Amino acid sequence: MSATALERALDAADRVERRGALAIVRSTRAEPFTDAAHRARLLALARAEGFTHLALELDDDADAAAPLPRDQSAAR
Amino acid sequence: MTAALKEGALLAWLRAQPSVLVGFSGGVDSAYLAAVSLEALGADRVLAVIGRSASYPEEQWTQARAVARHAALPLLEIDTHELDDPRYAENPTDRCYYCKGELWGLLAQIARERGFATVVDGTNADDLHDWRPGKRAAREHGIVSPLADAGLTKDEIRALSAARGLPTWSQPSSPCLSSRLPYGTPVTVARLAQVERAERALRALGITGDLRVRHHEDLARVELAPAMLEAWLAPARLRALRDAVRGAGVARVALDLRGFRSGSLNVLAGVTAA
Repeated sequence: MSATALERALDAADRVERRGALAIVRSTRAEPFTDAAHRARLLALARAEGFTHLALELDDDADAAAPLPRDQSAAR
Repeated sequence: MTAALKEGALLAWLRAQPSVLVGFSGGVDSAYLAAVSLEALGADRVLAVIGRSASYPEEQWTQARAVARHAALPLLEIDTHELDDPRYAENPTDRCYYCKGELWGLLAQIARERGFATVVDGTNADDLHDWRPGKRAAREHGIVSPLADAGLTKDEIRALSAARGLPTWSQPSSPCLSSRLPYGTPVTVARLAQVERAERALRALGITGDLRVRHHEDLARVELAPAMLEAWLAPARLRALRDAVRGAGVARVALDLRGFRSGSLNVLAGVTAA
């Protein structure tokens, strides 16, 4: 199944779990979500896909791994 | 009409009552109503009644008692048993109807036995536009909502409470703990206690303002006031938040990216619009 617009807007490693109208993003990196504009875009995409709620779940090893080099981050 | 004029109308209505019994939670609205009732009628003709149960947060109970002491408000505490009613415990979309039906029935009975003429609640004008099945129970038991009747909104009640020096004026709204469980998830003492522990742990981290821990079985979804959201998305704080909620016995923790919404689970269930 092809990725939705919401999934495409997330990091490649992120996963979206669907529970009715609630979408849970499982992510290993919280840092991108501190950007209000990014959050607003994700919320708009989630709404367009029929979700009323969007939540971020942080994995146990979230942000524990070394960040990707800047050039790789930019490429994603 | 200004808030001051509305308060004048409220005082006039209260003065026309022989006596009132106030359904009292210690929240912003009922604390204000109790204070104005006391001014209008005096301590001999006002009684505030708290209904305690597993769905009533302990912190709220402590606050309610403190508010009553502060205002020298005559206070009675009773136990309610809504969780014993399967129609409530199954958690349908009209769950509040069954809780309020028991509560208002008990308060109406106490009013009759003790000679209080009118039972009043703290429903405000904003509440009339919300999904409130408990209103039907109030109507059935003849409960009057003088704040709503006077057209007083939540913001106006906060401002008038501040002017009276009531400690509740800036207090976040604190509905019952069952409001943290999606409709259809059975209401149990264990789930309510889990929510209460999680919210208490988050408060201990320094989170202020509106806060809800929504219980989605294995996952707790935390709603923070939008103004707090960005700060708590910082990785180190998010880990602290996650660990605090996990300490309450929830396996998975998620932070809502939109933040606190009153009636969030009504929206999720499609009962009200997003």
